[in-house]
Amino acid sequence: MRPEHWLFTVPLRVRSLFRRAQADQALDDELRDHLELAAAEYVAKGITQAEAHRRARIDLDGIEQTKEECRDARRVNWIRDFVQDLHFGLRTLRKSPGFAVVVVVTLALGIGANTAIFSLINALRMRALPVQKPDELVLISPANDRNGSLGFSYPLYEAIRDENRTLAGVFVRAGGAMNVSVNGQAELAPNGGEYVSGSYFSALGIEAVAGRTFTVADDTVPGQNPVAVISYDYWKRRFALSPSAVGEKIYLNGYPFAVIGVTPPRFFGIEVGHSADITVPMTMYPQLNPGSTELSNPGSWWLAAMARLRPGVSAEQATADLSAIFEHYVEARGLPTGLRTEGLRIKLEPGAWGLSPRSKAARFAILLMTLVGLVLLIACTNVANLLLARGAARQKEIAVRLSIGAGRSRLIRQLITESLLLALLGGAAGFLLASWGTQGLLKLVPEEVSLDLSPDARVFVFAAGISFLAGVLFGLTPAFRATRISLVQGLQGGVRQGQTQSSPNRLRNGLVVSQVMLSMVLLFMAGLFTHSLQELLGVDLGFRPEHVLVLSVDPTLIGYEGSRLVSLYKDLLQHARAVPGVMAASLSRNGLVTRGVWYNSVSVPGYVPGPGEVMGSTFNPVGASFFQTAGIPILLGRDFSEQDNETVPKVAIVNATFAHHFFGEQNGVQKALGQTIGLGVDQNLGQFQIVGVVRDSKQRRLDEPPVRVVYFPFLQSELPPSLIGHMTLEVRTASEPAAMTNAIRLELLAVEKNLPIYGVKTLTQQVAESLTGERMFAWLASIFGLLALLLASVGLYGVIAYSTVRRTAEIGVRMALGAHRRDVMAMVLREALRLTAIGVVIGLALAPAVGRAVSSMLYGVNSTDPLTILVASLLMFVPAALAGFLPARRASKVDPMVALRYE
Amino acid sequence: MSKPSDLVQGTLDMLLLKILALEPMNGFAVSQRLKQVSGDVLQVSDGSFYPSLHKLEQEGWITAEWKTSEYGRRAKYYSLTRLGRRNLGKEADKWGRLSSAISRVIKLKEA
Repeated sequence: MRPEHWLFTVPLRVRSLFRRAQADQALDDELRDHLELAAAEYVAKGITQAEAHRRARIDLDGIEQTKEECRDARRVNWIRDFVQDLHFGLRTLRKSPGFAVVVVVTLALGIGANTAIFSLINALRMRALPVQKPDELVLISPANDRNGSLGFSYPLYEAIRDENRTLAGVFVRAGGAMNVSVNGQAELAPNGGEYVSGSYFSALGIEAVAGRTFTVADDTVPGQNPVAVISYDYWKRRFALSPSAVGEKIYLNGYPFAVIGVTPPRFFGIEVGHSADITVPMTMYPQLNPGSTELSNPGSWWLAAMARLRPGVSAEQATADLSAIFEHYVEARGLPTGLRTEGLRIKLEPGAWGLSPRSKAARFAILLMTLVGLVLLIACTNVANLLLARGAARQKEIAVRLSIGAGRSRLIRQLITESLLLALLGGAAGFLLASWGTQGLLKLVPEEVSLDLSPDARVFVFAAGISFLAGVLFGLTPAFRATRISLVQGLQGGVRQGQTQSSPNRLRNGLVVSQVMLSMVLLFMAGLFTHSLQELLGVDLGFRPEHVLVLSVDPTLIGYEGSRLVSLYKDLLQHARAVPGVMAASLSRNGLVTRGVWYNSVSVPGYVPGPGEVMGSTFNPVGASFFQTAGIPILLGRDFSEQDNETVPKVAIVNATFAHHFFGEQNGVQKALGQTIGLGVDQNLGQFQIVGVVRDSKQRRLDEPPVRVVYFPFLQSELPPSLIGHMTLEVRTASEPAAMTNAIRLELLAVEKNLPIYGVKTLTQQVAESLTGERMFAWLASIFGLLALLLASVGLYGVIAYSTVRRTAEIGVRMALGAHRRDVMAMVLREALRLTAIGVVIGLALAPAVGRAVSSMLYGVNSTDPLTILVASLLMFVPAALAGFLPARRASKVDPMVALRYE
Repeated sequence: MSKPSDLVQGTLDMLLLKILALEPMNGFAVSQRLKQVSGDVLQVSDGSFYPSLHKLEQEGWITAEWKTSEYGRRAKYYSLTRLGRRNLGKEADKWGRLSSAISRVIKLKEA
């Protein structure tokens, strides 16, 4: 239509829409008039009134249809029809509430699960940081292929800050533990503290809700700006939202600070899942971490850097600009130490989502989404089956409606509207279910992670979207099927008993088989991950975790340093050992199976490094009798003792991998003993003689490959507080370690009453916690697998029950001819098992492919793990047997006379 | 009842427009006039041109208003719009071309 034509007709159509009642009335009048006039004509020709009216009516050829076509001509029908369909749909559903409830519950489970997982993914990866215009933010990191992304050194940041021409704001950030003292009450900030540049808040566009945030002016001279900004959550928890918090004087790590502002409630910083309590300027770092030289150390690349691009500047332009500065800087100040640095260049990544969470979590999330999508598919199949059955039951109604002139497409539209209505109800219920479910999910997540899983617009749209899709998916086929009937058959009372309409049967059976297959796949995956978890739990740790309590202490937060720090540690150990019930106590810098380890370089006499090889090892300063406490077997030589202090020559103990690597595969352990190695090429900690070789033990994760470790007494190296400021005490107890917690704590506090103690748990607990992600995933996969099993069983039951009812006549005949009840039961059960078996076989055929797809996330489990296959198959047959058993029993109780008469 | 085929539908529209071009009238009168003029050759059932009338009204080629007829009752009178008049001209031309083309083919002499 040409444009001006449009302009003319649109108002007409809109008017038709709004004045339809009026238009309908007008149409009635018009046609009635026509009838009167036509009748009058006939009368004029000499025909009787009654006959005249009849003829006029016939001439008009079906008034209702005419009216309908006129209305069609107005072409705004579909809205009116839709509303009509909705009304009708609601009425129909109200008449069969049981059916509606079953469908809505099934859909709610499927849609709810999907929405819950989507909320998780939304919070982790899709939701942008709650800052201004997050799309303009970029993450800046020096990167190369070998190491991935590194951090910034502070001098590098200063260079970029001062010389860039393409950035509207740039900042660096680091986290750290902080001891907070308010009104004399000291505690360790539970969510930690943050050090940020002065431009942090302005670059992110964050305004304080109380007081003010700090600016570049607060970050100029080191040590001159003791100001702090607290998070909204901390303000609520510690200060009860009191306005007097702003301006309050608090002590951070013993140093006086003033609280100058509070950040908005939804703001959490730039690291998803982490929300620091206290933020201070980066230039105050040395005050809070006495003895640290990080700010001026060009070799320490420890900071995360982000920036906002200037308007109109592209990422490429900024990269070029920053790369030039970077090269200049490197020439002047040098590269990070101890790392491979070839090909190091500036890389810019989108910063809208903050510091990216680990990719492993992302892979798990995608897999979860797939699992949960399959569950929804099974749920939809169930509903489709139910709708097919219902369609068959409604055939009389449909036949009547078709015969009085309803168009087939109109009916289909109406049935689909009913399906959409069900889907909408199911979606709403599912959305609610998901809101509760995500609360439960949060409980599975470790404590330090704080995620905002509250539903937002995106989640809502997602839920609405999949509800709609589901509705169309399960509604389409039954709608088409239901209206494709022969009128005569339909009017005679629906499909008669005993008549096998093979195609709907095949369709329903096919749907059930696909359900079984999908359940098999889900159960298989759940089994794989559960088995993998079992394997991880059974891994040889290399130490004995039973009966050990671990506690982390951080005396630097209250001002300890240098020799005072070292003596404090000695005292703490002495007191801990004196507690009755304690068998041994020691301490270490790297905890057992924790995330933070210290890696540095070594020099080994007589060892020639291969091309491009880095002579490095994990370093762990420990206390006396560490190996005895941790339960790590000594292969050769001895443990550290009290005598290994600063007055005697330096000694070290290495693990088996270290020995084998540097001293040969054959007899590496024997050869290592007695050798002298140099530790810490940069810090030059000195020459240490190896006095013992111990077994390998897990350092960071349970699924890591063996790594080289060198242990040395913390007393024998003048290590700065940044390296030994934070140590973990291990205490082996005779009885249950949890029971001794208080006794040991009190003893430690007796040495120093303000000692920050945290992370108190048994070693067994700590090991278990390192598997939180895997455990959570195995849990969820199992839940979804069982859910799928439940849904498939219900579907199977429905199909078997339905087909059995329709075969009532046949059963009657069989029994009349002499079949026993047993035979009838066997017949029904065979049907159930046949369908299940087909599904299981197809599922098993897919299993290897599925296993291969996830094999990278499994540990110690074959992708075609036979045990899992066996268990999954068996699990699948159990509900099949049940699903078949109940209808079978009912069928066998049929009285042949009744069955034969019930046609 | 069968729907008018596409060809007839298109032509029907044109006929209706033409009749209304002569003078505005109500639906019944249009159907009577059509029967009369075509000498009962064009058998258009009454029931099929009301939808056409409404469609034409929707397209904006005719407009309707309620008037009191000569019988003293209210009736809906249709009349042609300027748009409709223009379209009528075009449709008439098209029809002329089509019919002469068909005539030419039919008049082909057998060899």
